[in-house]
Amino acid sequence: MASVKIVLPGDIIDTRREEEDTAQQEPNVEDEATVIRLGPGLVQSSESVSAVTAGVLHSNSETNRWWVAGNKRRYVAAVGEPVVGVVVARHGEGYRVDIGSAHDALLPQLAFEGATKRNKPNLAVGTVVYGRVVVANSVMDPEIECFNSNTGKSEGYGELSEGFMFKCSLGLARRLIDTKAPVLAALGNGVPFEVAVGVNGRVWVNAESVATTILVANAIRNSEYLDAKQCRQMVKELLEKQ
Amino acid sequence: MTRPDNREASHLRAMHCSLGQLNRADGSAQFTAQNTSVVCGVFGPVEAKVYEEKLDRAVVEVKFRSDIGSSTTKDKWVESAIRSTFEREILAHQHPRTLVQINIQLRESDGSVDSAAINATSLALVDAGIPLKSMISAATCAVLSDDVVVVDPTQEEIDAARSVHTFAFANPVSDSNKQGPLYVDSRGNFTMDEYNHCYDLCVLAAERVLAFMRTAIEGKVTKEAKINTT
Amino acid sequence: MGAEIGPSNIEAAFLLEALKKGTRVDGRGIYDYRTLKISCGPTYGLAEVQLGQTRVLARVSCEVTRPFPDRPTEGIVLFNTELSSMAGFGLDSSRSSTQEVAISRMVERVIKQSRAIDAEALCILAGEKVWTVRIDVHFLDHGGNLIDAASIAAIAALRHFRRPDVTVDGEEAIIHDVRERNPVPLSIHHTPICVTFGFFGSAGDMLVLDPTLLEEQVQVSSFTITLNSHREICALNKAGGIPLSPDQIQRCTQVALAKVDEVNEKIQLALKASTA
Repeated sequence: MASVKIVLPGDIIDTRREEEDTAQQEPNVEDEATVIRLGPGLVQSSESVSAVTAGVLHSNSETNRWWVAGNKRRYVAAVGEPVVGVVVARHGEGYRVDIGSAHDALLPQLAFEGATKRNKPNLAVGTVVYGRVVVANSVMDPEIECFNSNTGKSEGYGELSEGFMFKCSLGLARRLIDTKAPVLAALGNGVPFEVAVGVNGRVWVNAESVATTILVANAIRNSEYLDAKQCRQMVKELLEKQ
Repeated sequence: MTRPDNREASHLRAMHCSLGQLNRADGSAQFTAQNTSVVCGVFGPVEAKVYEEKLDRAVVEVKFRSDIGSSTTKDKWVESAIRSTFEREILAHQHPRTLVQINIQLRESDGSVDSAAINATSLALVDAGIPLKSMISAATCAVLSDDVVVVDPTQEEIDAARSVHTFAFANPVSDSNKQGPLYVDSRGNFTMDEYNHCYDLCVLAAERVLAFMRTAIEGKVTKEAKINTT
Repeated sequence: MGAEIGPSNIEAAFLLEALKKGTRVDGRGIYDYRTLKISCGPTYGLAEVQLGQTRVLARVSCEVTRPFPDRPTEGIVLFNTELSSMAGFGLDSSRSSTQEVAISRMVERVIKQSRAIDAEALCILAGEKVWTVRIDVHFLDHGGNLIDAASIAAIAALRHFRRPDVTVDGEEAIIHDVRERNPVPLSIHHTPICVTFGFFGSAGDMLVLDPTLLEEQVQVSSFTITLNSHREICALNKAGGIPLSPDQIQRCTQVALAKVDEVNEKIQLALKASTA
């Protein structure tokens, strides 16, 4: 891995330079024509590309894709992402669900496995659901589904009826999505538990006993600023205390 | 000439900042220059009230609270000055129908408060991940009665000054310098030469402030990135 | 809706389930305070208190004013709290809820009505000039139990504060600049500290010390007891909620006595650290 380049809003990004950031070689102006794709955190302003959020600058030399990876706490909905939400209101065709973004998401009553006009789930206000974002753009309210509309199967989505839910940073949530996340792996070796991670910074956990659920929740919360080794150590200590 | 705190005329006070120390806010920062200290908490993009939402962009709201006493017209003035400074830098069209709320709380004040407030706001917005055209850094200068110009004046120096000037610049400051400052606030009697001299000193000072803020943000990002790669 | 949304059903149910087993969702025991951090200064009369995820800032300031005509020999103590939107989105003083008013009134009563500050020592010239001491409490982060955090911050700020020294010569009062003469501390009779409990269950039979925001949202009743370092009760507050038995109040008092000693010790350490 090359040295990490951190950018701030307003920094001009030199997208011509290849892999070796540090090499002082003259950039080859002639091999333009390549299309540069800008991801999150970057915008084009007239001739140059500049950063609009702070974070680590990433680039993929094959696709010539550039983006900035930073951490935030306020979720902005994006299609396909799993989220944990809380029902805040019910109306005719469905529910309004708080997913932590600027606007509440819509959850149609029929967007559940096996739901029909005559047989649909009845969720009370305050119910926690695990869903997937299907509509997300800046002008409409987001929409979520608790099943895969192609297969009609729940695929793990739906109401979360037991256990405990807590909030964390979006960065931590993204790391937890990976089942190889060190804290989850370390916990999994010690105690059995269920977990549902919403990339909107909400995590649901459930284990056999209340004490175990609290232990898992606290271990995950503590892992925010710990690397893999520290995570294993922290989990080990927590498990020993139990 | 010696200053009450034995600084050189062009020296800033020792700066200190921390990022993300507030739990409820989406982003927060505290910016301290010795006895001037400001904490800023940002929420956004969050849902705007129906009557204030704009269909094509986010609304920016600034709330400034003084350390002592309830809010005065002067606080309202600071609010509107900071709002107009940041409104143009926040990429508001990325999040239409939403609100970006900036809460600024003065902790203690010993001069150069407006530049500290701008610097804290800049850091808090970055911490919240609100898209910004550019970071903003600010610095204050004062022309004392004996024509000496001092950077980052304390309240004692401001009270004795003939004029006080605050400038804010976009990142990078050297480029922004050509395009002009984003924010200017000059008070008192001064000549054009004095103004220009203050401007030049503030460019240099704002550059140093920005470098300091960069280090602080890099520290936080590096810490998070290290965890990501392992 | 941005503003306060109550806890989800599973959070509330889990919290109660855990309490039945004598544990809390953040891993604390029922009589455990969250980590308390107090910092004072560098400006006189500035104190910031961090109680778990709750953060409160207190500023004490003073100015010379005329006394109230009916109390010519007493200084004036002003108290101001504002639950700003900084502490949590949607919290706003313009639409102050009963909860916010309750918090402000409680802390104000604790400091002012319990006569913690010696008002007569604030007199400069009877009927002419007195000190007005102003306490501003700013809530920065609302993670539950604002009352305790605010009372600790206010007391720490008052004890940290120094006012300019005054010499009275006949009818003339000279107020010395703080650079000329060392400023003097306020005369404080005693230091009342609030300790808050939350009650749960249909009969309020489960209690916790120092409730978090989630616990405050689920609790059925709360009780605040205010004690000073002389082990005297300065104020009691139980605003509504379900009825509690006298035994529970007795139990709370015993727990609170021990906690107040710990808090006072922490304030003492913070004051010492600020002068070092």
